[in-house]
Amino acid sequence: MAIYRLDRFFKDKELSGTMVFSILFSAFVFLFLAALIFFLFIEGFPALKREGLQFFTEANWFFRISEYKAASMIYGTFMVSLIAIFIAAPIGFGASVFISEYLSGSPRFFAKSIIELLAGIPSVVYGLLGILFLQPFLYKNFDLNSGDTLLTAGVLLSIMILPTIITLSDDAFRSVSSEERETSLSLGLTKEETFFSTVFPKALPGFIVAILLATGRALGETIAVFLVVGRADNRLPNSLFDLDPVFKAGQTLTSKLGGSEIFIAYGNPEHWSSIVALGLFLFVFVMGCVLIGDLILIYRDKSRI
Amino acid sequence: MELKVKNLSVLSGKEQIVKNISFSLNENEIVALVGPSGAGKSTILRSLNRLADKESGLKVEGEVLYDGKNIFTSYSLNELRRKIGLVFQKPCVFPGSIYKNVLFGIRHHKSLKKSEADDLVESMLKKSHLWREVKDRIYKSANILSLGQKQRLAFARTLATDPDILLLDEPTSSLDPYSTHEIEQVLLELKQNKSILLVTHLLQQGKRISDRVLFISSSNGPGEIVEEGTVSEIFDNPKNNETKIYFQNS
Amino acid sequence: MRYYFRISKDICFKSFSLISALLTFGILALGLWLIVLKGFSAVSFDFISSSMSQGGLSGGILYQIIGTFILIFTVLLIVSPLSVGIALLRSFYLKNDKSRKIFTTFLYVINGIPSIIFGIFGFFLFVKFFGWGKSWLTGGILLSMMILPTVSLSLSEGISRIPKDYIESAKSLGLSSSAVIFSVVLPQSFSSFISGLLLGLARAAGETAPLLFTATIFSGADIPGGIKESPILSLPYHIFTLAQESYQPQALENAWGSVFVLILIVVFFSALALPFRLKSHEEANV
Ligand SMILES: Nc1ncnc2c1ncn2[C@@H]1O[C@H](COP(=O)(O)OP(=O)(O)OP(=O)(O)O)[C@@H](O)[C@H]1O
Ligand SMILES: [Mg+2]
Repeated sequence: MAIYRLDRFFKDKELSGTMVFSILFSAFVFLFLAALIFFLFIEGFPALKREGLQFFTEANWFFRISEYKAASMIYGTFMVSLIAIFIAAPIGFGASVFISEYLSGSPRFFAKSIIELLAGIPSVVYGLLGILFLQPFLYKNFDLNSGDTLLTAGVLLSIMILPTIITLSDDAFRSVSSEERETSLSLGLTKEETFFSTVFPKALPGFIVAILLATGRALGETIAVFLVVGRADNRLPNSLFDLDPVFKAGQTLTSKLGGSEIFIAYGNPEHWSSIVALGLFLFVFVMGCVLIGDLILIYRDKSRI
Repeated sequence: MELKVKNLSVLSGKEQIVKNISFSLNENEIVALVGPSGAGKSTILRSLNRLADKESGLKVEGEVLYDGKNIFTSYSLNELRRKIGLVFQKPCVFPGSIYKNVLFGIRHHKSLKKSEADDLVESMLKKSHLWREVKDRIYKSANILSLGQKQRLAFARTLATDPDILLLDEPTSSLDPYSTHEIEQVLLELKQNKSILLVTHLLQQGKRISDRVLFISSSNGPGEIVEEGTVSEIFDNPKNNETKIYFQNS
Repeated sequence: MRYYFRISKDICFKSFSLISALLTFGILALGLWLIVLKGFSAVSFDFISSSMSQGGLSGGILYQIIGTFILIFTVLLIVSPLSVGIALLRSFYLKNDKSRKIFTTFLYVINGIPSIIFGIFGFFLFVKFFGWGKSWLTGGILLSMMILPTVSLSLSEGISRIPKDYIESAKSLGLSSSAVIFSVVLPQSFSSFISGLLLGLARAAGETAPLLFTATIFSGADIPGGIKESPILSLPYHIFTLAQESYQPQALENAWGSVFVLILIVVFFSALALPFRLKSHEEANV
């Protein structure tokens, strides 16, 4: 009976050894993912239940006196990613336009390979460069009390997510055929008019997905942020428009999770659960970006046909 | 305005695609460019619209004078491309309505009031002999049109920018004999104030509407114009052996 | 008037994109130049062939390099079979578009998980629950899971690009579907597999976050003696630790040296992937 239903999902009607392995391996990976998600929810949930809404609204994390309120880390994560996207989106847009619309042939291939190389540089290397060059640079030029700030982390992140934005948007722009470009040019439109009337409308979903995935990457980046963010707990702005904490040391979800507090936390169920809850949040935010991006692509491909 | 092509050669890297192309296209004239597939007809049209050198990365040598001035040096791209319009061999319609497609080029060149735009769309679609079929759905997507309809839409779109010189790359290749006939009538009408360079595989079409014929062949390497003459000269009395064979087999 | 407006818009657009591109490549060039400048002088034969001493202030990074390669090799062994299985399921076995889309989303989800979450999950499951303590094997497993989507999707795209006729003509000769896989599908998509694998390994070589609590220590390990209870040294973690002591000139010097070596490893793998990527693009245009 089970074998009979195989052909509802699979092209092959009979099981073969290769197919069994293929399914088993995939099931194993699926199990790993399921276990990871299960872990985040089961271990993180008690903290949410215990702390309630205050977990997000109050900045009060002192594990020695069993206070676990995470608002400042959530704030830090959002500000840092916001700064990064704010800087990287326009520059990434411009650079990918240059690569896809003004370069062709081997210069284009060369530029793309370099950008992809840049994407492969480990975050710890960015972190070290951040400590040694970006941090003193911002310290001097922005009149800060210390060079380790949310701003520093945001600027460093913007450099790190640039390659992601550029490669993905270039792919999106390039998916518009050269016939469409040439037809538009042949009618006497400028490159700019051609871009905005033929390329961009078609590539817009792809560009949005590029920004979303880059945001996901910024939200989840740990090592580089850890090294330059200052890791000062419990700072929140006084009002919505108070940008002061951005220019001071701060803490993000990832910089908290990357610290050695993990080892202390494990022995204490309350503490551990609060730590995992931070991870759960991070996971939910990042998955939000990834899944919305995926939906946009699915919807786009559907409406194209 | 007249177009004078002198010693035009197009190269891809070191390899020549066409060489030493010289001809002129006079005012109020239809010139047919015929020859075997792959000879370089589309390449010539694309170099006159400056897509070959600017977009395909080909090298274009020689001189092309439009209104007495060199197209490679004396005109800005947009100005030139508007004056020398090109209709592609393979039509490409943009996402969006038929209406939007007709206005795609012209609305960048000048601002149109709604009523002007409506009138323009109607007259262009009539000229391209498409109006009757689509008049009830000009605000619907252009993508669902048939290939032949798309070809006529592309023609209307180029016509809407009001070019002086029309470069047409097999504009009737996907059309039935009746529509073909209608388009030919339109071309004869357009001849009153434009010049037309027409690539065609239909010799009868060349015979019916063109004033002169250029025969291009690439049997000895890069494409070259091997014979040029009036319709009667070249069809009834070809001097070149290759031209003769080509015409006999059609 | 309108004409000049159009032209100036066009020029602005071009200048903006040119400046953005220059800025991007400028930052990149500056970064790489700094790494080479600072790193090259810090690297010597002694540095890469001796072990660390004085808490990283002197000595070399031999065991960090070895540790990184052990991790890469472990990842290679785990990822290869898994990614082949996953790619076959996605591109060869799955019948309809819908299940393929769901399966793809599943891979995107794994690909999107922040690396630190792998670290915390690994810490919970392997270090504590299984009681392995810090272990190079855990590191290998976590890194494998992280790069698995990259490798699987690359191979899977390669499989999807194989012309249908190839597979159909092989089937028409009476080959079983396993035989079709081993004689047509996998050989035809080999370059996609290798290019994905090399890019994934380059990424794995530089990862720090998942290893923080699960696999790496800063000092006191050399060649791991056990299968699952032995921690390991690695280059990224070494740099990470030294970076936090960068106020000491010697620590900084050694950090630069390690960065230089790590970048060489990463660039080596990425550069190795290039010809395979070109090849898989050519295969796509058959
Ligand atoms: N961008 C290019 N790079 C290199 N070669 C090209 C390029 N464009 C065209 N060619 C070559 O130039 C030759 C002429 O092509 P072209 O399209 O001009 O032929 P054609 O006369 O229009 O043929 P057809 O009647 O089939 O449309 C062909 O051999 C083609 O391969
Ligand atoms: Mg042609």
